[in-house]
Amino acid sequence: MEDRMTKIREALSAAYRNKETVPVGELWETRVMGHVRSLGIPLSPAAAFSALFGRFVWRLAPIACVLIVALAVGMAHLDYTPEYEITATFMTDPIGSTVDQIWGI
Amino acid sequence: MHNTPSRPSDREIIRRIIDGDTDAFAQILARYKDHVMGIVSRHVPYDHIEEIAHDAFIRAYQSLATFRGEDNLRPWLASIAVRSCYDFWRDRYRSKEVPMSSLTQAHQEWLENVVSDTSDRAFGEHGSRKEAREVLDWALAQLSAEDRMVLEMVYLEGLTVREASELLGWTMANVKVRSLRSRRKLQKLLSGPIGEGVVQWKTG
Repeated sequence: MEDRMTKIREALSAAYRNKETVPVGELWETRVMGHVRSLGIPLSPAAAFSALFGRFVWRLAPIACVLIVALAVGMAHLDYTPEYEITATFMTDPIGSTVDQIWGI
Repeated sequence: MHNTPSRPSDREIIRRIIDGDTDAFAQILARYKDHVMGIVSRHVPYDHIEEIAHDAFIRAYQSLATFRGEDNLRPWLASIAVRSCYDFWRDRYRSKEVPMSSLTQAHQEWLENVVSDTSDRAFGEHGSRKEAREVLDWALAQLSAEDRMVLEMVYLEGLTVREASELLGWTMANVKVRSLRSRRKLQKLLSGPIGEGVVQWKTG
């Protein structure tokens, strides 16, 4: 069986090597070069990433601006004062008070 | 006495392209088209050779800025060409476009002639027959895209595992395992026709 497979392998390898190739014409080269020109200058991965990142950032910029304005308006209307809220939390915290008493503060 | 203009190196051409002279790519195309066509023609059907070679050159162009080799684009382009062929087969298998033709009486006779030939006749003679090509296409169509590529490169082309792994961008262990597996599959596929007639032959 091994011998027969070796013979078949040799014959199939010869068939594989005898495969026809296409003669390259000028038309094919012109088509490839046309495609190449349409792609522009090839960019390095870093440059391609920064170009993509730049496009992405600028696309999101108007949304970010609208969100900032909306949040600012919302905060102004809520009359939210963070310093007061934090102080109130410390003052009413029983655990914090116990710790203060232990340390004699 | 005339001074013949020196041939620009591959590295020099790449630099010109990246600096904006896209037409300089024509020199790379002219220099390596036969090399790439030769590789592609061994792996894909005749009708698709131009399309896949085109695709390989476009991929190479788009990746020129990442080329880190020495001054010779040949192995780098060979790797891109092989991967383009692999992608072609992967797409074909995925869309189930690989024809599953069956073997005929003529193919059986060709196989019997090959195995019974006791002379030292060159196997090129058997291999040049139309039936050889058809049996090969039939057997390869039964394999996966991965097994097909490895079988062609290692078993039929005679490349080493290392060479095949570099061209395909796979690990050597992966290529070794696939090579063994695909060879077993091929042996199983052909053991019917050359053995006890397990395969049902389509006559006429």
